Amino acid sequence: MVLYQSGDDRISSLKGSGYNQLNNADGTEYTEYTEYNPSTNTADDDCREHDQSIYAAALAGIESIGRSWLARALECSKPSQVWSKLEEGKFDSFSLKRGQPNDLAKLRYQVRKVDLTRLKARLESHQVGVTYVGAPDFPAKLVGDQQVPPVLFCKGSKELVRAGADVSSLAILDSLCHPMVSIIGTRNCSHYGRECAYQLGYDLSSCGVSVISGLAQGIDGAAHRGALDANQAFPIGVVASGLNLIYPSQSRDIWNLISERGILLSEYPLGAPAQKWHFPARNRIIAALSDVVIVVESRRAGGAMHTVNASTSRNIQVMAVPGSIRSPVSQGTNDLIYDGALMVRDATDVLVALGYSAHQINDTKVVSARDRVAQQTADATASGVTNGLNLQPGSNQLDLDTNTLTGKQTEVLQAIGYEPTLTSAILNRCHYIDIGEIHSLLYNLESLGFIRSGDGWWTRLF
Amino acid sequence: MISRVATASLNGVDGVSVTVEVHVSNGLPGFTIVGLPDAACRESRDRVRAALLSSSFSWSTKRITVNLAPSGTRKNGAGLDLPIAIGFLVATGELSETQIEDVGFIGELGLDGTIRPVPGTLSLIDAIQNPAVVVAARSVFEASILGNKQIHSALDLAELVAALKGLRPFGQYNHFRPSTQAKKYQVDEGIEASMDLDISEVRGQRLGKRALEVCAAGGHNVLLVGPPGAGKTMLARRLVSILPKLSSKQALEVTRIRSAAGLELDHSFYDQIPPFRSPHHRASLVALIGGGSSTMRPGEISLAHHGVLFLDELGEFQVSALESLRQPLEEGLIRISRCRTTVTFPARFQLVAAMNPCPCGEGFLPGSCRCTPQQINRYTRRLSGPLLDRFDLRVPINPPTPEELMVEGKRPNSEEIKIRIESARKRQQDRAGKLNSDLTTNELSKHAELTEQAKALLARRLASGTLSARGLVRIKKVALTISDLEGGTRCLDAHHVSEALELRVGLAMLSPQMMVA
Repeated sequence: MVLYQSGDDRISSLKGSGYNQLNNADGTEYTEYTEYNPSTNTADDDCREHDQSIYAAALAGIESIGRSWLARALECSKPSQVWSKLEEGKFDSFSLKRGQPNDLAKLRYQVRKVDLTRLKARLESHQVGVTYVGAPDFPAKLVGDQQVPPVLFCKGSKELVRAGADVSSLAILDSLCHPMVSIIGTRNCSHYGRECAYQLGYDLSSCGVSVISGLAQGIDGAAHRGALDANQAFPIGVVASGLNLIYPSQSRDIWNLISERGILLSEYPLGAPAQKWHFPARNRIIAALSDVVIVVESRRAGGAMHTVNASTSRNIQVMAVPGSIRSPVSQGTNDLIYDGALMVRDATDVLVALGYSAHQINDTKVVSARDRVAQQTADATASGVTNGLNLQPGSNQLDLDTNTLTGKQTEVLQAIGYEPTLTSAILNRCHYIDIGEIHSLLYNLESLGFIRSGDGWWTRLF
Repeated sequence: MISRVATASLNGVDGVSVTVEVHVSNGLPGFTIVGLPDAACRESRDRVRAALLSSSFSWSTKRITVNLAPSGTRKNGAGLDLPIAIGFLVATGELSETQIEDVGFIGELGLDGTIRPVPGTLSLIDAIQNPAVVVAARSVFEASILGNKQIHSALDLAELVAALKGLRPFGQYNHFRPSTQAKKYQVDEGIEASMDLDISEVRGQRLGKRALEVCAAGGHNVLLVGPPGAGKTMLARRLVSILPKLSSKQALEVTRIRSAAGLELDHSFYDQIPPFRSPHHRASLVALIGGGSSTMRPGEISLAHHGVLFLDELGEFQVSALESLRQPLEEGLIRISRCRTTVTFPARFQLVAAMNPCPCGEGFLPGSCRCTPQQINRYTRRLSGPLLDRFDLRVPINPPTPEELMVEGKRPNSEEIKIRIESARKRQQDRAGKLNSDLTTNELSKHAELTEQAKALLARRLASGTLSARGLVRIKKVALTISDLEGGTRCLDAHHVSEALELRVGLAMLSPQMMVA
């Protein structure tokens, strides 16, 4: 019943075509066919005038066609064939969408309604490519999947994707984006999770691993930001809305960057808003495309756990970043590790799981998160005051000797955790030291490089 | 017959001299008041008539015209009842003009002739030129504060007329004095914070207490952010206990405003306690900044003049009400313009605000917060950047841990802190003649010299993006106050700056996605 089109197109197509604009109970607009106008019928059975992908896009745009049915249909016949059969109403024996009465007459009208030339123009103007089950460029990892997405829309860097007629873009998923690792987790993440996700994204991308994620806020976004900052491999974003509707709007910058430097994928046609049920479906694509799935932070029940379930059912390695046993957002990941998921301490662990040899891993020179932070602090303070930083002989790892500190410095240092500790907590833990003195000590420790300051919090480095 | 009586009417917190002219002549019997009276003034017609009759004076069946000169400005309030009645008595020959020659009159009349006090007596007395003024018995103390006028009083109209005629002396009504006892609970008037509260009652919360100390010393505005039950309100209420006493000049200004707002004088006048106002978060714009259609009444920000305006649940206030605070915060006064008049109210207050980090209130801990990022965004977006920027101190307040609550030991009490604050304030007055929060950028760079380390620290924070250019000036002001509290070297050292940075956290801290280790 619903045909997704962008706002302007829909209004123009409404005029004189017998469509009434209506509102669903959930507020989304849909168009209902009331009167058939044969003049708009453009497809011809015998001579195929469009590329197969345009037919695939048109099929994905008709909502009363179920995904699994479409996947089955496309596995055995070409999109244009399915299209013409639908136009002729030949699929009377099929259940098109489970739980919905087959109204073949209406479906036929809907199919005949679609202006393929306009659809093609829209795809071209949004620079969106289309691939489908059975197409030569359909991602190999999705072929034969238990819930294969019948049609995939993609938007990618201009050099890679030539929009319009020739949409062979997704071939790069198999050729250039290998290996692929998804970094997923909760939107409501902690500071720790966000930093870990960023670091993993950065390091993996530096090692040439493509990072897949869902562009959500929190962990997903942080991982992609890291990958984009490293900019060594193609980042892949799998989204739950049409590729012309940015969701969530806070991820606009990542969305645009990924569509410039990597690939955005969506199962949904242009103009499809993100619906609640799109997200678990989106997660299965993330899982199916990945070689390894990394959960950075997740509650026991969360969207990330959908992806984990989808991965385990596909025999894809799940890894998890451990967290504090007190942190509610690390409960899910800690449970995963308890249940046998591999633990991620830094990107090296992921590379091992991906099957990199020791030699290859040495070449990548992944720096542990702690050393990186220490290095940054050292760089920052090097210009300023003299400090106690010394490089250990024979290693490029930084280390500081806490024995050089005075008693009070040690007490303040011990009040600070390796995770962000609020200043108020430090003040209360050192309640016997004068408040001005504590700030003086904190400043000393920071310039010595033992601790790092945030905005209202401190992190211990050594 | 015509008579003239001197009185005054209130315009904002200032009095305006008014002459009541009463004309009694032959003609169609009637009683009209001209000269832009407001509703309360117009009604005085009936009160005056009843009061005169109850006091056994005869009512004239002639044509009575009352003019309130200058007739171009709007007069308000019932304070003109008494002058109108006296004018009538003079015009009808009951009193002679010489008997009221040097006397001004202020007072509302009851139907039985009782003379009642009116709001703003202090300002009204000031506006009357005559050397003697008659006020209601309850207003005698307030009217005598200035001490530049002879104050007479009487309980009712009959007694007053007798005294004016010289048949009996004026009564002494000095026994109507405000209580010198601190009332513990005066919730209705907002003066809840009194000297009874002491900062030593707060356990833990070292950062919060320190923030109060710094903001009291430098006159900085402070924003406390924390989950419910963390102790934000408890802390804020105790700010007054560490603020230095008002000077007598300041106390007088505060009393004038309170009087104009119709609030009774209380012990805070003797104690010279800075006012503490905490309006509810549903307070309207006019209640907050002052105004009104006919009578311009001072708002909460003026009542908090020379004191503290505490806005609890800042995020729940109407956006328009909050944004209206920006001008008074900068200028120390509020100008309210209506089509007929413009009134300027003093409003040099210290703003203390408390809010939750997110709508559910349980921010800071990602597990306990039930808000979506969008909800939090909507919640914090209510506060505009310019408003948040005016808070020199922005402090996260976390609920005290059980260990902190159980820790016994000496906590500094308000008196000890107040001594430090007073010496820090003296240092500021000696140096620049004003508090650090009022320093201009030029004055700041003149008085606040940074050491090399402090410069390096600020440069590092600017580079890392945790400090903005706008924040830099505020940080320097706060650091200067911290150094004043410490005893004040000329140079701002790195640890002063470091502490100032801790007391002014970025807006990212307001979002709850913060893990506390």
